[in-house]
Amino acid sequence: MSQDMLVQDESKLPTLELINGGVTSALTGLSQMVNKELQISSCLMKRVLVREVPDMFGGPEAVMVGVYLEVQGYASGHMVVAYQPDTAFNLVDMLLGQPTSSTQELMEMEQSALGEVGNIMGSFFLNYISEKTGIHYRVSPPAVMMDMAGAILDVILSSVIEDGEYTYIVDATFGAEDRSVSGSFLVVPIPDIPNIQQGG
Amino acid sequence: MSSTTSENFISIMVGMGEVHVSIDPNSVLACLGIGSCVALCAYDPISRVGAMAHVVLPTSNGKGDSNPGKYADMVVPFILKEMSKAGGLRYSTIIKLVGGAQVSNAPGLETIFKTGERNVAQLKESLQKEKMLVAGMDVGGSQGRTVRMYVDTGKVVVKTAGQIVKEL
Repeated sequence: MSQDMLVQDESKLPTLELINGGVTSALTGLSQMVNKELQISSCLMKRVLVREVPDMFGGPEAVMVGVYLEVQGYASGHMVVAYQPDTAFNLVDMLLGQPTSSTQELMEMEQSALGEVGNIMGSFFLNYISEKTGIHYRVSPPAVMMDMAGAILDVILSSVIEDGEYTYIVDATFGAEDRSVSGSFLVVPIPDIPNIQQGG
Repeated sequence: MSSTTSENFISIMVGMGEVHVSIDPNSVLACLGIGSCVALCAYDPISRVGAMAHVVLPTSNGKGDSNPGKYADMVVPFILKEMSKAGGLRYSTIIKLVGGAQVSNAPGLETIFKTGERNVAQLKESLQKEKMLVAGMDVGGSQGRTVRMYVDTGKVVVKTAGQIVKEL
């Protein structure tokens, strides 16, 4: 049975090394899809005020593209891969082999391409964590949205804020050297890892 | 809650689960970028008391005592009581609801993305229980919204990501 991921103490938090490994693995998945080398710009585990999470994306009204994945298995939680709209359009062009600036909106085909990226990234991240800890997690099908940051994040934050004003999150940003691809990878809340050896 | 000043108005941001009451005619109560959440706007034109709640979830499941503003099944009596403390009159209070969108209809995730619909349904039920009528609504749909209420007049303005602005 899935347990609530929200009741956490610091002793159960995964190591930053483990999270870094998971994010690196997620980026490997994306790199392979776009055939570009991607680097982690920053990867932080932090305790944040839930209602301030949208500020990390330019504020609740800032328009962004988000690929949402529900984490299922040992514990439940949420992941979002977030892009600025122009970056998401550029990424779609790369994925579909189209000239730059071909994509101007997210129709079914474009959403499907971005959903696939989110799915690969989420799966690679969780597979890495599962391999290192022996704890099984899986992801839901992706939901692709373009809207205000607050609206996209509502679904996540509403379930988290039910249990407290603060939560632990993973906030990673990434990009390619030529800045053609960049985005954020958010895990809310950080998965509980029970008292077992965490490989890095 | 945080506040900013522009065009002689003081914007008071009502964060998730918060309820704010104002008697300052220069203030604007605002919920920014709400998706499944619902802004419960209450205004008494006689006393000119305005209140806004940023409602997050339909039911408290026994957790809501410390923060009734989060829950649709607890917020209505609470906001009316807070308005009354500021001089608001229940019988002349006008209620408007904004939000409750379903920002995705991705298969397999219907339950989680239907929170907005459940929030609106529970709020309507709670309002009915308190014998409060809803004077205006902009709820449902698939887009996020920003809602502002001007305390000097009670005017409610709604904006979506596509920059469509309308008065409710």
